[in-house]
Amino acid sequence: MRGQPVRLSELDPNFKLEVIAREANCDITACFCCGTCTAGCPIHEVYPQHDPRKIVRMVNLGMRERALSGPYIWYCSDCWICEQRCPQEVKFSSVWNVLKDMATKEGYPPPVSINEDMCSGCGICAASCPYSAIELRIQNGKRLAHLVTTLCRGCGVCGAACPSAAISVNFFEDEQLFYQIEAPAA
Amino acid sequence: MAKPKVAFYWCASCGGCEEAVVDLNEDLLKVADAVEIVFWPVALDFKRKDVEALRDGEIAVSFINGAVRLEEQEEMVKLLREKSSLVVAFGSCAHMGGIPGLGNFWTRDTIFQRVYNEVPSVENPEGTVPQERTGIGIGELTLPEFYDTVKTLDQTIPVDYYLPGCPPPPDLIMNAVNAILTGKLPEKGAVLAPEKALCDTCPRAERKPEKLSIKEIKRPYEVKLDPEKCFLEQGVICLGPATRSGCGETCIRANMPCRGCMGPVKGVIDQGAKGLSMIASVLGLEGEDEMTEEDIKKLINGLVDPAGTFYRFSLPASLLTRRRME
Amino acid sequence: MRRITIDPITRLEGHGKIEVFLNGDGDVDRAYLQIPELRGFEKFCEGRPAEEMPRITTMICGVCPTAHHMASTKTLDDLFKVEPTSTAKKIRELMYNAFQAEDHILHFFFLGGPDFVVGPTAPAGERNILGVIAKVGLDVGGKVIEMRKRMRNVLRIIGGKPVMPSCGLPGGVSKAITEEERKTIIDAAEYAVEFCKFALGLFDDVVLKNKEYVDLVVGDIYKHRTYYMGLVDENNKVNFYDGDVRVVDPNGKEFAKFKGQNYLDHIREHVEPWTYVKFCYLKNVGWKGFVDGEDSGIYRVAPLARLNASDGMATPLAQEAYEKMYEILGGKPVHSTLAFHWARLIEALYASERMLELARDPELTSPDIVNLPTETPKEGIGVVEAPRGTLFHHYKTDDKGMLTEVNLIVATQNNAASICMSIEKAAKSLIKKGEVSNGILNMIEMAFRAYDPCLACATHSLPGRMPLEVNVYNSEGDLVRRLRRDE
Repeated sequence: MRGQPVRLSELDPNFKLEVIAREANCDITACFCCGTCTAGCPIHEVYPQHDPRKIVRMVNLGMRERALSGPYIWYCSDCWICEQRCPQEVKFSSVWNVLKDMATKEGYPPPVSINEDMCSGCGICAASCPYSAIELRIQNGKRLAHLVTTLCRGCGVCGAACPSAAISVNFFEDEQLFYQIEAPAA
Repeated sequence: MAKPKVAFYWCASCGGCEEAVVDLNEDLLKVADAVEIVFWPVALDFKRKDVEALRDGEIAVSFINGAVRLEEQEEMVKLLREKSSLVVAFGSCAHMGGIPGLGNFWTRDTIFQRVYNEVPSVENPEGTVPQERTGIGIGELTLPEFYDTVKTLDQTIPVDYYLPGCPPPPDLIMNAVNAILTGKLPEKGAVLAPEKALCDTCPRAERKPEKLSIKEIKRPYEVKLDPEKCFLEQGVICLGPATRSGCGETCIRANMPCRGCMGPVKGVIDQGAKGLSMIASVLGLEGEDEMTEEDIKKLINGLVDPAGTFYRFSLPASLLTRRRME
Repeated sequence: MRRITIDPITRLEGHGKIEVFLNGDGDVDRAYLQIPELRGFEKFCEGRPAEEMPRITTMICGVCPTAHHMASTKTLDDLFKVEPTSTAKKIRELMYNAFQAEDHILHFFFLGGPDFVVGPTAPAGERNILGVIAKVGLDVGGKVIEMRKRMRNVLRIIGGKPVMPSCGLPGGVSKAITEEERKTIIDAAEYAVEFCKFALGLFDDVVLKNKEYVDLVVGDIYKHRTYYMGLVDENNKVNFYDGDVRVVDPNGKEFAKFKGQNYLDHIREHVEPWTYVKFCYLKNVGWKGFVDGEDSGIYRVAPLARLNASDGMATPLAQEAYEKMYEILGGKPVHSTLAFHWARLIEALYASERMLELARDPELTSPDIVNLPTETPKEGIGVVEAPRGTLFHHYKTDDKGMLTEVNLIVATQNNAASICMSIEKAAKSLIKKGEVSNGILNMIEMAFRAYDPCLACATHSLPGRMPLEVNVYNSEGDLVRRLRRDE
């Protein structure tokens, strides 16, 4: 919903406080929107719509729904450039984790899906998921991986680990990854 | 109705794919009855010029096995492509480069140097190596050029279908032949084998633990291999999860781990990379928080020859295709 | 100077070709067999873990992968200085003999035999398994397929799959044999013994009772007086799996006997620029060129050579057949190249009998199948008798068992020089005054076919025609005549 004025009635002034409460170290209210984070973000190079400054602004404004429902929080590749360069020392990586956590708890789907037609039940994904968000279940006599969406943080380890390319992590498909590798080099 | 014309050809091959065809046993006679074989250098009289004399596309299907490493092989497969409606890359070597693909860690010169000058049994004081042209006084003898880099079939000509495996199992061969004869083929570019990875059909899958973690890598001779447990659980590298099924798990049933000859599953471009990231994902998962730098180093060093292990059959087909020589 | 090019030849991996050069009178001056195939195993195996070699070297040849698998596994035993368990040795030898029997029978019925059963100058279209069946009955074809199927099944039980087995480990094998499996193997072995007796009977009827063939076998066209090499057990009897390497001179006297580990004291390879294959010769006699006799280091391997180099066969029926052959052919050693076919069948019978002995051994089903290595690996050499000759694998590794150097002497290499000589001799004997015919071409091919060159594809020859085209050029290099073997 681009170009819409921000309606005060839709804002949640407690949103930023919730985020800060979850992660004591990070004071996002310190942000003064200088944009250093976005300027250094490699994902932003490739996907202009991924914009760290924008996300923090949304949180500070209390735009809960837009922040959590959008794809933006899932794009982050955890490179930490934003956090290292921020002149106000905002701890971005903590912010993303909290937002992803909140998003899945509130039912917004993580950008991960498992294709059962390709899944061989090897279990590598279940073993490597840091959030124990994948279970192996027997369906029609076959072992298949099943995503527990409320636990998923969209970190993408499963997608990298899956030897059958049966797990899609949105924005981090092979083709997109190649693009992301080539872009900074171009 | 005229029988469909069929051709077989072999490039840098070991003959195992031909053996696989003979392993069709009685079914082979049925196939031979249903088609007209117009070219099979190993067995028949037909020559290159007989193939040249055919119309373009007159051969219904050509089955080509072996990797491409000689000039003569490249010429022949290009000719067969012109004259065939369908070309099937038969076996690991045509599909991905196969074992001869390991030659891509070296060059023509390094290989020649070893074979003709360095091995302890060779007596070659003049440093003779095979030449493309040799004058022998009464005339000249020629040998085809030996390339530096092994190529897969589809790096040489457009390929319609792939029959994977080293060699392709007889039942997959029969299915492919039947599919061709009845015209019930999947979309072009398909690999004519099941789509899922080996774990899907592996006899050891049921007893796999919920969470796999490799505590220490064991080479197959370092432990008494348990015939029931998943190899990865035993710490033995097995490429099953990254390899297409359809082979009947013959090696697993002989109590040896999979080495990936059937190639990657559908949608995976680089089998070796997937194999590597798969193993890396489950290495030392349990207790990883307590591991020191030393522990981690030791664990990783237990994986010997990663390039040769993960790219055993697929080096020429991989993203890098070969080692970069200085 | 006229030149005849025969390109390609069949049953060679890659593309073999023969070049024949005629002198002014139209007689053969020189003939060359060129093998344009090389993949470089001796280089690209460097850096690989030694224990993977039994599963990598199988890809040297898909016709005799079991030979490489076994040579490689034995090399690992030596590399790690680990003794395999008694059961493991029996399982390995059992597997090995099943493989030998299958391979030899396949060669006789599909490749070599048709020349005799149907006739060397019979129409090409009949010189194949179908022609054999037409001559001796449909039953035979079915039996051959059944024999092959059963032997391949034994290989499947022990090694996982018949093409590219994978059970070899240093100190043993990976899989034990169950009682159920043993029953299947015994059945198969019994079938094999009966079948091989039948095959020898067929050879008797078709070849030995035919004077023309016997003349061909003992005649001069296909004869070379060379040294002979083969593996023998402690009683100097033929053994495919293990033993010492024994060499006899052209008069049949023992010339050398050594452990495979000492192969470098006895064998050297010679390089020529016009072919990719290297030529083996005896170091202690020396390379004198492509000539035979006591002064030339050229030696032969494979069935006839093994029988020449041994004092007999270790099983009763095969021993009988061995004695009969030497009686008929006039004593040891036999130099007639075509007798390789006969010796091959005798070996197949031995392999079947040996298979049965091992299959009945109570120890076969023991679970004690591997001794784990404890020594640090350094260097290992393993030797077996492949169907087509003595096969050596030699590995050097670092402390972690990663390969630093690999050397292979692959069965047919031992025969490479002799094959060239046989072709040249046959060409010289048969092509006179520039006269070349299809029948003559086939008879030249019979010279190399007897060796069953290792790089061959063991397939059937369905319509069985030999792809031979002969181009005759005059000294200007103009094509003056072209002959095809079409039917």
